[in-house]
Amino acid sequence: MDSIRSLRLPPQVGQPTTTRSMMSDVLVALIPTLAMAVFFFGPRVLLLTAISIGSSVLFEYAYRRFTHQSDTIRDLSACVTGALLAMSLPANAAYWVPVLGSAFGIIIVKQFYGGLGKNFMNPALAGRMLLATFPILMTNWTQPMDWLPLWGVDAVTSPTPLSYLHDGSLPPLSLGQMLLGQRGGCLGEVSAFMVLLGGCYLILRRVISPRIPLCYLGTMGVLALIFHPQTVDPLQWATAQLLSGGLLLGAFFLATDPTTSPVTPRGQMMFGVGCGLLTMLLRTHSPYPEGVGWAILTMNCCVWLLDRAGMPRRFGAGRFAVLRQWAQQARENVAEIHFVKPNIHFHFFQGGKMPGEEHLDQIRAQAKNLGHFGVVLVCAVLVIFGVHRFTDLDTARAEAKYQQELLAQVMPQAAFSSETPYRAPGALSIQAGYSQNNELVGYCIEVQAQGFSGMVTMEVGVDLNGQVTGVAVTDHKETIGVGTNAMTEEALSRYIGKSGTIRLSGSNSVDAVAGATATSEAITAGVNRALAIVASLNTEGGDVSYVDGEV
Amino acid sequence: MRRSFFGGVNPAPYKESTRRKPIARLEYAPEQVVLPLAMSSEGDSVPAVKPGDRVAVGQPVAAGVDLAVSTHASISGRVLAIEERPHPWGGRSAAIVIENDGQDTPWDGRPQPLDSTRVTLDLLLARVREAGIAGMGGAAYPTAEKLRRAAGKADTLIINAAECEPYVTADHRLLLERSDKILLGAQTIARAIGAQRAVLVTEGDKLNAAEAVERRLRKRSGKVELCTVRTRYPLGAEKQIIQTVTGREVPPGGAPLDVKCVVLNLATVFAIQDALFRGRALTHRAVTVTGGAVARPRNLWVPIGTPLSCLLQSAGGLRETPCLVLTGGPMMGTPQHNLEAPVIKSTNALVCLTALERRQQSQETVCIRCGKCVTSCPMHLAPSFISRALRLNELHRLPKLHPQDCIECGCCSYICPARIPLLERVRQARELLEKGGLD
Amino acid sequence: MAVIELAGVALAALLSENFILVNCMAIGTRSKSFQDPVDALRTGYCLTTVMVLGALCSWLVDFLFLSRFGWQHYRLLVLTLLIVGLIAGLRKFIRVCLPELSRRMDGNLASISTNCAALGSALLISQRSYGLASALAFALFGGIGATMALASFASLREEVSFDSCPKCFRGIPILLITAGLMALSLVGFYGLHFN
Repeated sequence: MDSIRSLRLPPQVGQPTTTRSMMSDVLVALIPTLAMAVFFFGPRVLLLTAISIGSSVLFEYAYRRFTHQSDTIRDLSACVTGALLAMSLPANAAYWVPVLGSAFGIIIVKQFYGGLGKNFMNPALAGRMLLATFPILMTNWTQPMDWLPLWGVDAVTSPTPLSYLHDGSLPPLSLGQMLLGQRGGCLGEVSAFMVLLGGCYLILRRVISPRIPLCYLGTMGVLALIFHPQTVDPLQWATAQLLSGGLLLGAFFLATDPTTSPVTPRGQMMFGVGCGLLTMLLRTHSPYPEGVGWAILTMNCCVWLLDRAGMPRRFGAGRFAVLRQWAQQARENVAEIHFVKPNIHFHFFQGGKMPGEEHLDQIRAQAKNLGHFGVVLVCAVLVIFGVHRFTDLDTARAEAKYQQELLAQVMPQAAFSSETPYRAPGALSIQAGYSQNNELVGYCIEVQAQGFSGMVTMEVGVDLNGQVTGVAVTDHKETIGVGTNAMTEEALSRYIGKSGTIRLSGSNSVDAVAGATATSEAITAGVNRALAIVASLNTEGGDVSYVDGEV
Repeated sequence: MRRSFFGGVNPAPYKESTRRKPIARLEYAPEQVVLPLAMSSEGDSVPAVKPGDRVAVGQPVAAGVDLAVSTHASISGRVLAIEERPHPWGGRSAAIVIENDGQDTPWDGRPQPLDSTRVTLDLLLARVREAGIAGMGGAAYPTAEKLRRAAGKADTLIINAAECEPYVTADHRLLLERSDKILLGAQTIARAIGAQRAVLVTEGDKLNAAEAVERRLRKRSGKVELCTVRTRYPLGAEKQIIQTVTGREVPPGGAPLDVKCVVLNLATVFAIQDALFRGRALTHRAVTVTGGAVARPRNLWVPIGTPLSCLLQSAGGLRETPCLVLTGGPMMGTPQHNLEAPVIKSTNALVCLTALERRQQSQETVCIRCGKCVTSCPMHLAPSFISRALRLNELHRLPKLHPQDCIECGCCSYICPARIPLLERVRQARELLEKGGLD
Repeated sequence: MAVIELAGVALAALLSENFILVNCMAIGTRSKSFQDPVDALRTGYCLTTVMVLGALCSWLVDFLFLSRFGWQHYRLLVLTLLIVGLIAGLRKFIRVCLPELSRRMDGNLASISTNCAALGSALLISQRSYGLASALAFALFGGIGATMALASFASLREEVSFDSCPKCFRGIPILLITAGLMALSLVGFYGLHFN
């Protein structure tokens, strides 16, 4: 029978799709989304998309040409990269933005690893995320039905549904509006319905399998239903989460990129679930409102693991054959390792050598090495000691001067401050400020609040009437030039004289500084906490209990 | 209708041209019949006649030695020669050539028809062996041996009427026209070998046959179950049909008997009941002649040994020069370069493909890791990984990917959008592993 | 709440401040750990163990001696000696009492002595004045994050061909670019917090 086997030809019929037809199907699926974006934002969108696709193709062609490799633009994958990159940009992006993104994506992320089928990271997404690391570039969204001119676009900030969700409230849009797209966002986001249409087209044409989108969206939905803010109806919250942001675009077009997603069915499901988990984590706990891109990129790096874990089980082997094999292997490995009792014995008068002399011999042998080491150690200790001795006075003086300056900024009426025995959870320290005549003027509270990139530590001075006397930021991790705009003298002076609970808008409010919303909110939160602490302070001493936001 | 095996593909069936045509006799009887000595998978038979002998229909002309099956004359006439003739499995091999005298005289040494209630296991095995029946679905394994091994051990008898290859409709028509006899045969075999269940499996695109069977079943109140499964290639593969009917999976390197099942092709069952209840040896079978290059595609009842050119004659001849001539279906068929090769016991179709119908030999492009091959492999392999291991010469990865499980159905090659010849790669991998293991 | 705070610290150590990809610390291991995933995992286990033990010991030293007597400025010296001594002691212990384990993992453990992550985690714990639970969580999840990054990188080296780039990029440059791309995906986790 071997002869008949080797004679048999491979199947003489085949299904007609090719790689090229799959890529062109993706482009076709993007057309409704593009059309809707043009409807909302004007002809600028077309030019942007054309530049994106054109530069992707150009870079791929040029790279292949310069490195004397075969021409690959015929398989349309560069076009798809360009189109997806364009779809993830805001409508007011400058024209050089997609060029940079596609250069990075095509040349470095795709071609450096061998071209189509050999890259490990989605090139369109990597290009987009590189652009996302430029702070202001990607955070200005225009409103739809506001056709942009082709040249000379101003950046105008307007809130997107995602920014509402990030704050924990439902966006003020109806379901229909979110579905059909009268909302801000990038080009591919504005109409969820069109993206869904495109996604269904792809699934029907068998270009993508529904596994990844379903697992991704399903995980997001389940997590949204479970972890919803207390004040919001879970179903509405889940729907809003699913329809907002680039989630649908990411789930149907970016996560399903065949090269950078797992090959095995179970691996694909785990990929979808992992993306959903990470996206939800990022959306709820990260300073960036959007987490889809980062989540997919991180899962792209793990595809190897998912493929290995998700290999289909061997036909005819039991359900858990692989697991059982692995467990057996592990057991064998561990069984090999056994504890050996160390041979600690003491020589007692072995005749000839005194007790411990053997040990001394060993030490003598190593004395030279140890000697050098010991000398270095002693020198190091002496140097540290000396430097510390000489400088600690200066350090202490500088520290004292700094404290004085801080006090001057925070509570100008006070002459000096001292520690109090009060302790409050959430406050790093509570100090009391006294005037020249030893009268209690107020309290200086050191608090922390979560800013954009980390904790912002600040000192807040509150006088006995419950009014803020000054705010100073002592430590932060915000981006210089962006977040630090909220920490200038002028910005911080707006808090002086406020009392009660400072809101973000309306009466008794301090507006957030443009472009530094998270940082401003952090400072406001810190000030509110200090005010609450002082209000709940009772002079008996001991622990202070307070509730954030209630004064 | 259910679908219970993982993977598989749905090629376009192309069965419309012959689905409704009843099985007809050959219009132009063959002048000569060529009976190769090698018609089963377990060795050649030995001639029992000499040139010049007169033979009648059903007379044994080659005896089965060891496990080989015997061969019987399918026409009456004179033995012309015993010489090398083209074989449908490739090349030339020894065959008994009989000249047709046009009389079709039946052999008078035929065994007596049996009563269906009196068929014991020994009687069944003897008759099957005597009739020279081998697996008629393509594998050509001696049926008597299969039944002997299964006796007492198998609890399920599966009749494979799932003709999943495109173009082929012979079994479908046989089931539709002869359901009564087939059911009787199935029941008898099941009782004889001691199987508790007999299941007839057919595909969803053969609903008219399924209805006919159901009607018969109700009338007869027989013990044969009918199972209709949604059409999917390769449902007719042994391991897949067992999984669909019983849910059991044949262990790697194992046989259906390991999960207490025995699978018989529909035509084989029909031949067995012919041998039992009409005393007839295996001399004729149903063959579909079809393809874009054939003028009048149809199903024919053909004497075994008929040259393929004679079949084409009865089907109106060739309309145009075919791009490829195959015996069997286009997924797993054997190419034929010489149309004088005969129909043998396991030939179920003759397909003449035009250039349009045959898939273009396109350029192989790079694998984009779409995963379609993994989701379509019925044996749970990952052809993409196997191909990659071969390409990068990482042979140490092959054992974990177990390419020896491959049943060579061709689903992976069928579905690959990058046109990578995955079937060949897996075959190559299997050979490398076997060679490496022996060294 | 203590659990939330611990979870925040753990998550930060795992993702947003991943020792290898964000803090660029645990890169000084032997080159085999970057090539073979099994070896990478072994190095990762050793690193995690050393980091946790090192965090425990250094936290105790910090709490009992350095902070109490105000010798913070000797921190670097003391912790260096402590970590190196710890690794040497661990190696000796394993060589004597668990010879099979030593046979497999001694090379990995030896390569940890030149790895900055152990000392780095001890120093960070001391600088940020973590409590004991936070310190241990930080070290444990930092080790796990480093292991995952190492194993990911090693497997990527197995799967992805690094020879398709222009000749001037072959070798170390493309490896650094790959590490950079992996780090790019972690940029989004910067500033992750629980509250």
